[in-house]
Amino acid sequence: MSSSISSSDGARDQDWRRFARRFFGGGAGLGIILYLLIFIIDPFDTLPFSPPLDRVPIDSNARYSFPALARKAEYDSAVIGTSTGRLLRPGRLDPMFSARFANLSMNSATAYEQSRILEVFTRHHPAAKTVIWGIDIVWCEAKDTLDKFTPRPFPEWMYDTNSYNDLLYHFNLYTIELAGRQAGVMLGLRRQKYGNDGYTNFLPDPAVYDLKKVQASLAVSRAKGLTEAKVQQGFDPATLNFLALPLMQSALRALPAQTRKVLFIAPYHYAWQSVPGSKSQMEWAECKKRIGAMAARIPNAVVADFMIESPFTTADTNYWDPVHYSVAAADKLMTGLGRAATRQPDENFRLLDK
Amino acid sequence: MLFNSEIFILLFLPCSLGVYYALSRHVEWRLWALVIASLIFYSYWDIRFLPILLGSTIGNWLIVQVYARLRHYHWLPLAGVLFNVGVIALFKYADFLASTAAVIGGWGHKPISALLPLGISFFTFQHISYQMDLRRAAQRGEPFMVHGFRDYILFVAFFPHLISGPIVRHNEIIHQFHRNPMRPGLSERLSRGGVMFLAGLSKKVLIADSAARMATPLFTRVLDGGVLNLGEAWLAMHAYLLQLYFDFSGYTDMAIGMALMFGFVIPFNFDRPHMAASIQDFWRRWHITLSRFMRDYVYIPLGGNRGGVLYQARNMFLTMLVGGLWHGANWTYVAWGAMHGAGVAANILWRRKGYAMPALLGWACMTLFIGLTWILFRTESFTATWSIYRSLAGGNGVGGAVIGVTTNYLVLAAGTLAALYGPASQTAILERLRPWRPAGLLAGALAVFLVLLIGGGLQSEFIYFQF
Repeated sequence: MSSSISSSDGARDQDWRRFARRFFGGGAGLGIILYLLIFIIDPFDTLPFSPPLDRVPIDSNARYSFPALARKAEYDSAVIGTSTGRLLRPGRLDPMFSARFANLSMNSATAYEQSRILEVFTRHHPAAKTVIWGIDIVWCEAKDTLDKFTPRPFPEWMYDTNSYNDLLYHFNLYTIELAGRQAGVMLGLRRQKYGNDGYTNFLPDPAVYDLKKVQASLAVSRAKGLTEAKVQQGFDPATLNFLALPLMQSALRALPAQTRKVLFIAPYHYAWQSVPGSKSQMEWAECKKRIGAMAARIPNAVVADFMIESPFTTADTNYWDPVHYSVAAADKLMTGLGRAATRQPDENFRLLDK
Repeated sequence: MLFNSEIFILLFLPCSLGVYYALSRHVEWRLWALVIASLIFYSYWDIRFLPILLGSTIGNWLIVQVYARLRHYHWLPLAGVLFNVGVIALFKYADFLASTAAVIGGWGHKPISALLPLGISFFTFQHISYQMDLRRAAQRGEPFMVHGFRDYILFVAFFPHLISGPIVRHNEIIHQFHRNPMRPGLSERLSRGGVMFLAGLSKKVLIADSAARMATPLFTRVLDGGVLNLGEAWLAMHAYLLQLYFDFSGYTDMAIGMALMFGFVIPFNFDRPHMAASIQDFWRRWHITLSRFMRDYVYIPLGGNRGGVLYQARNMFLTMLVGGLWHGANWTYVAWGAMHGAGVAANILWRRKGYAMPALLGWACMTLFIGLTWILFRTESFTATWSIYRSLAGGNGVGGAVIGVTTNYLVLAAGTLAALYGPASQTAILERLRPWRPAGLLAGALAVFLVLLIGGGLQSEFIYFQF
């Protein structure tokens, strides 16, 4: 085989030079322009030295939007959790706790993802006032392996201590799309969908609320619950392995002693709660016990268990589905959290950290 | 570091080219710079691979140095070949051989988890070809081409072809190392090389990876114990055929393009294989440098076409068997090689008998045969392969396949048309491309688009990396 390529007929070297300039120069130029636009808009608000523009949480995947929020100095308190914590409104929590809350709860967040976002918040708020942490099933699964992620992408590079490496992850179509959306909001061409403090009411319009549909879904849940596996004789709950709990323990320990830590077990509708005598109920009981024992050893921590039979969890009208409560119910929950923080008794919860 | 990653395209390749051309006046420095870049590229995968590559290269080079002084010791290159076979047996085939021995001997087998260095099958073949070429040259009294260590390691480890070929011979590339990279035609080489790289990247990102999104769930279902209906089985076969072709030929185009950007021409590996009208013709067009290696170092030493048509068919069968085993340490690859060996042998006998077949029918038979054998290649499981064969025949139920989003239809159509009617990349880009200025701008824009596309997700490895 020949070790050279044949120069095309009639094409002069000068023509190839021009072609190469357009190819490499044009490509590099276009790439640089696009990157500069991304850098200036900085859609996730995490890039070092990007211009100080008024950015909003733009990504529907909160795993991308919230690291910037967790770093912001204007908030001194945070709500951590999954969708069962998303309706805790900073506007209502702030006066109750004399704090400025950011709601960092993320849909379907795994225990690992929750502990990572709290880690970022703790790193940037050495004098954090209050952390409210909603605990649901992801913390109390007795399994041999811990699922670190969901199918939703999780950008580890946003959560580390090096903000410079974020520069390497922005040159892609996804970021360009989000930069476009962010620019749209900045220019007033697009409506802001997610709150600056992380709070967004994700529920449908109350006008479409259908109590009968909700009750049908609750009835199915209850029927399912009745068929749950019963606990075996001789079963020792002490042998259960809750792999997520050490993550919670280290995240809580990393918080300053003076930070108030209000943990709450999410108020699943009673129909969704485990049936007494079932294996699942035994697991929940053991998990709650261990969380209570853990919190008892952490300064300034309290755990309120809302996952009990109570006026809150038995009122069907409080719910959209067995797990997600309404905005009005969220107000009741926040009132309860205020009482729990000061250890006042309430019919909707019991304290676990005694 | 994958060719289809931002770190490679935006950092490693421009830096390597920049340093190489900055040192272009100093042949020693620029070639050592290229050696170092290649070793960094290789170590980036796993630093533990590096001692194996270096050890194998130093071992081969030393054998050749001794042979250069003791030229009548023709057993020395054979010892070199044995050394190479030993290295590849140790790292790639140890567990396969041990488990096979355990089955035959009836004793228990504990899997051996040896480190499998990337590209070992490729660089080992380059060592072997060099040893054998020297022996042949010495036996014929031809000039003895002994290279210095720097040139030899660059011949073996030059990063564009290190991981998945093309398998290059020493006399095809080493003499090019000494040519001035700034010689006339620099802009043309950079442009054609860049466009070739871009063509390969497009094949991989736009077609192969999209075809994989259709094929993978279907194959996974069967490997997990499920079954496919008729339509799904045909879709799986067709999508995988496209995936493999565009994945491997895309990688090769990128390798050839990058080599050209450094000023080197390396051999082509594909020449429109899916236009072949027979299985023999297919192997002249698919993975050409492997076919050439098997012909020169296995088939001809076995006797080639000497001794009559039956011997030729036998030799071809055995050659394909070795080729199958080269692809992977698994009996399915041996069986895959045997199927191709039988196909090629039948092809030889057919032609010798003087039978004729219409070209279209020949093409249809070849395509079906290739598609069917790729299934075994993909599944690495006889059970799963048999299940898909049943499905293809309608034995697991008749039904259609869900192709999904519109882009999947486009990929199937564009991929099929390009495989059947498209020119070979080397013809289109290295011969026909003209320096039309708007095309330069379009290529630049396409490059940016592709980099943006690969930047958003997890880059998928090239299929041939596993070999």
